[in-house]
Amino acid sequence: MLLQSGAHMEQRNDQRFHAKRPSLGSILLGLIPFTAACFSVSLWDRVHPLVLGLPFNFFWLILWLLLTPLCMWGAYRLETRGASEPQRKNGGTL
Amino acid sequence: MSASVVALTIISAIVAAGAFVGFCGGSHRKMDLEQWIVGGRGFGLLMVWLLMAGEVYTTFTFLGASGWAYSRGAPVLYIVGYTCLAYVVSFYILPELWEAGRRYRLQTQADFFQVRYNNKYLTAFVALVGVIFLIPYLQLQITGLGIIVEVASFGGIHRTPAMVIAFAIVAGFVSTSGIRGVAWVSVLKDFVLFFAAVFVGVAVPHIYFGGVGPMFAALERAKPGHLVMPGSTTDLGHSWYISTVLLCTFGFYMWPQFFGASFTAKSGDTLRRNAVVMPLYIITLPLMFFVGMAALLVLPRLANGDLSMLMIVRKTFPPWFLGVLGGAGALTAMVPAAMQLLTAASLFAKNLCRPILAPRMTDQQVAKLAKIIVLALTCAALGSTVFNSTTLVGLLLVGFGGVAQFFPGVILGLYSKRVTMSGVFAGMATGVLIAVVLMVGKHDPIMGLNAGFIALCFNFAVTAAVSLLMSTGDTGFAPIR
Repeated sequence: MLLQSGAHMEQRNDQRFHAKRPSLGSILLGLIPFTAACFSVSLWDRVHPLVLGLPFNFFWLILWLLLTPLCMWGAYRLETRGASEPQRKNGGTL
Repeated sequence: MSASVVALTIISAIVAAGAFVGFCGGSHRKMDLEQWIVGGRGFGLLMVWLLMAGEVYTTFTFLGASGWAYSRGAPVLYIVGYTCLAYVVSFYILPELWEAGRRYRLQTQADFFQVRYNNKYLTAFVALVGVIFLIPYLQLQITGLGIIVEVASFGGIHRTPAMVIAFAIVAGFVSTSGIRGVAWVSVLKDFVLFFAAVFVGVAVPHIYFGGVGPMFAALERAKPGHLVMPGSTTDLGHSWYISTVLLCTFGFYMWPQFFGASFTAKSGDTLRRNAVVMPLYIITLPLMFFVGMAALLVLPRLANGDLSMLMIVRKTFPPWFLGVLGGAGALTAMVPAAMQLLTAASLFAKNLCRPILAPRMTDQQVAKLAKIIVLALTCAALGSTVFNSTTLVGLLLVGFGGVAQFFPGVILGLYSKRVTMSGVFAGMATGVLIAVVLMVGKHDPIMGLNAGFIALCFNFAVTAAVSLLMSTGDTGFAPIR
């Protein structure tokens, strides 16, 4: 887990701590749930059409409880892609 | 045996089992400060998950969510929105906070401000604000517990003695077992509550309406408008939804106890994977809404929406089931309260008392002081609960308005080299001041927006402006010793 990437490691061996910025791709993936469950509220806050007996707004938010992990799984893959290779070389488990 | 005796016996048995687990959790370890606050930094995916999930499933979710579904209607959806998005935010910041925590051996949230901004007065201010805004959250748990005992005893037991007993137990296992005790009680409580919640959420709409669909149809006929925002309120519309979701999303991991919980993890990767799966865990939350909605049709004239969950359970199921649910509910009050007490006490002792008042204290003395403060805070929160009349959700929103003011200092502290100590100090002070003035003056929401969110915007603006005006070149974390 320490050996994240070459450049990263160098940074972390510095005398001070520097946070690693997330990649643009993973931030964009994180913005999808924000748009869907927050900013677009006036588009989905209605009762009809009922889905599975639920008012549409209830259905929509429950749906995003399921879809958010999918988006973040994608972000996870993006964030750890660089990290997994050196780990494998060193006999890591990932 | 009468119904209230059955229910109360089962509640006491579950609470006793929880207390037993809590006391045993840390009994085989030497409890130094590091073990007590961060569990020796050795919690794997499952323990971190249980600890963090245990924190999310509080009395608030259990009684407060159904309570707002009952009394306010659709605005309650904000709870689903923000919990889901808070995990998205945690995905990006918690692994970095954990890394900083490991590098500098951080134990509390205020420690982070110390290594980033290197000013003991800012650190003490962070600790003080954290402790102050933890009190409404503690109050929320205590109130919930009182409600449970009152309903389960059919009004036979006044809530005050029940609250005192339960919180004496909490203070006891926090002092002896620290965070390990808390994590193990959390396991027990999640197990009981999860199944009880699923069962009630599915059964209640079925028994009275033949399903969730017919229940919503009946509600739409009986109370048109309850199911879309602003529901049964006048001022909780879409702009309130967006501002409140954003405030709580950014504020969520600024709660000192959540922030601190990330230090218990074994690795940053544990936290990142945790963030990916956590939204699935709150899938039972909408079931709480269903119960509140059903109660609105079945028991339309409750004085307090927060009673709706327990009153409908009492009306529908046998007393032993009310006991099981009440017992699980009591644990959901006690586990988060334990975490909150532990965090507040360590902040107070380590980041406020030691650096400002008694710089020569040893770690052992800090640990001892923290345990005394656990008792003092318990008494303070119990005392203020007696005079409180806000809804559970209302209490939580006050707390969020306060702790979210840490967000600019944390996020800019991590990712910007230009943010300065004076900028963060000025911004945070402005944000806390505006939040307190608006909320104490009952101006929340204001102009359709959440008051805490407005305070957060001012906070960001002041932080940025002061940092740029009083620029000292590159700022950054302290050198690693």
